[in-house]
Amino acid sequence: MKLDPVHDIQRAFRELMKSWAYPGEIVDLSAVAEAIDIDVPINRTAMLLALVLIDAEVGFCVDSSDPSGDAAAISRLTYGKRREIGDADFVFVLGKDRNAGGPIAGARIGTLVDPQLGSTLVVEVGELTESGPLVLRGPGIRGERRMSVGLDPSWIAARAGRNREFPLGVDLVFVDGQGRLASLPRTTQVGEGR
Amino acid sequence: MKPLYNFAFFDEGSKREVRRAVLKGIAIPGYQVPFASREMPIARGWGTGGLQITLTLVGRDDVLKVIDQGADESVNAVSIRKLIVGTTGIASTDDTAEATLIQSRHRIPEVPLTKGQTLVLQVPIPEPLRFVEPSEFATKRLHAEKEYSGAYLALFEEIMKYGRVSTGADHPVTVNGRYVMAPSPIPRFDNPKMNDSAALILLGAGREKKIYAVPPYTRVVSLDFEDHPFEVEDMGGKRCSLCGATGVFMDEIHEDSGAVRYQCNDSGFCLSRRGGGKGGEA
Repeated sequence: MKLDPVHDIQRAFRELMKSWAYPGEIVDLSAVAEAIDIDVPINRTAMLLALVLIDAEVGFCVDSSDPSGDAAAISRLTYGKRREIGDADFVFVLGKDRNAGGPIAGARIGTLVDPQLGSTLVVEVGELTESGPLVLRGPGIRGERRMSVGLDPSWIAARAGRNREFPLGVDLVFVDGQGRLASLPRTTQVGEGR
Repeated sequence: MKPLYNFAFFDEGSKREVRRAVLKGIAIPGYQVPFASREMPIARGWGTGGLQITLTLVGRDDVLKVIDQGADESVNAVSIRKLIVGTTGIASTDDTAEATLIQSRHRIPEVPLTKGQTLVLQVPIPEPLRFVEPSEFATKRLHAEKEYSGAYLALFEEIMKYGRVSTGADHPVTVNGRYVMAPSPIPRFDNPKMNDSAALILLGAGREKKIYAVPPYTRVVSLDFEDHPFEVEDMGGKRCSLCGATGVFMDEIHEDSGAVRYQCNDSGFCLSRRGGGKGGEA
């Protein structure tokens, strides 16, 4: 793999961290994702995030049209353990027209004593823009931000349901097909404007 | 030449562990995320938490600043900077504005931090309820239940005893209206700098195996009472004897003659006002 396992992964993590610190801001990882020069059956940016976050210490779950094949690909490169959705630290929802509502509703939200056990979901979307109908508020956002996510809108209600009782909840990372990414940690309030 | 260490000293597995904890810390502001703290080449309790975060974050393009109690030149700062620079080869600086990554012990720099900078604070005791409740099992449940009367009671007892809150440093704060958090032993003077900060603030406690965060633009309120509002240390009427600054956190220096003078605690800030201090030294 041409991808540098130290420096490229570090760059990817810093961009990912920035996207968590400033929810809704789009960061561009295309240059790093393209460095994965072997054939992977899934979105390259999602695979890059798997390489950043997953190892034998954590479990993951895949929701896609070929969950076994995709999970095997992630597992081969990361040594992550495949788990049921309710027991997974990371959940990958892959394929542009998946409905993320189901996986969000099934993912782990942690406990009041250990809220960090809430899952991180990496969701592939059609496109991401820093304008549009969604109004974001919360930590990391000065006032409010706008965003649109090319995804069946069922995720919004599902997320609101899972994140009803802070600090419990799930954290979302959206990746598009162009190596761009935006995150919605559980603190971000998502409303719908005009 | 074959380098003696992996880039930034740490192995990649350790970095992944810290990275996962950092992200969850950002997602749950003020909550102490447990993590598998590593052995470091400095003693636990001497900045290993901050060091682990810095080594995990650092990349070849970063410019590093390390501060110990306001000074870039004190032992703790110099050894930590040497370790990071020695295992990464990155540039370091004294100038807050120039740094992308700032590791600090017990101070937040005087120059306001900007978006894109990351401040890493070293934390000896991350649990604000520890002096009220020695059991970690119990304090985790107090946080779960948002049961913070113990933290208020401690401040109340100080007021009863001394007529005022007597926290010298590490005055507890509420983050995003949910978690009561130890801001690390920064003076009360620095507490307001955490509120609505443009920069991300990460806090690491290596010995206690906790990582937590204050995301940018997050409300951070120091604990107080209606009739005893939170107050920062009074720096009124004090002027730095070296650079003439006022309204910054000062060290009080007693001369042999008995005279008292003041000087900026943030040495990088003071040096830059006097036209020096650029570049830093590894």
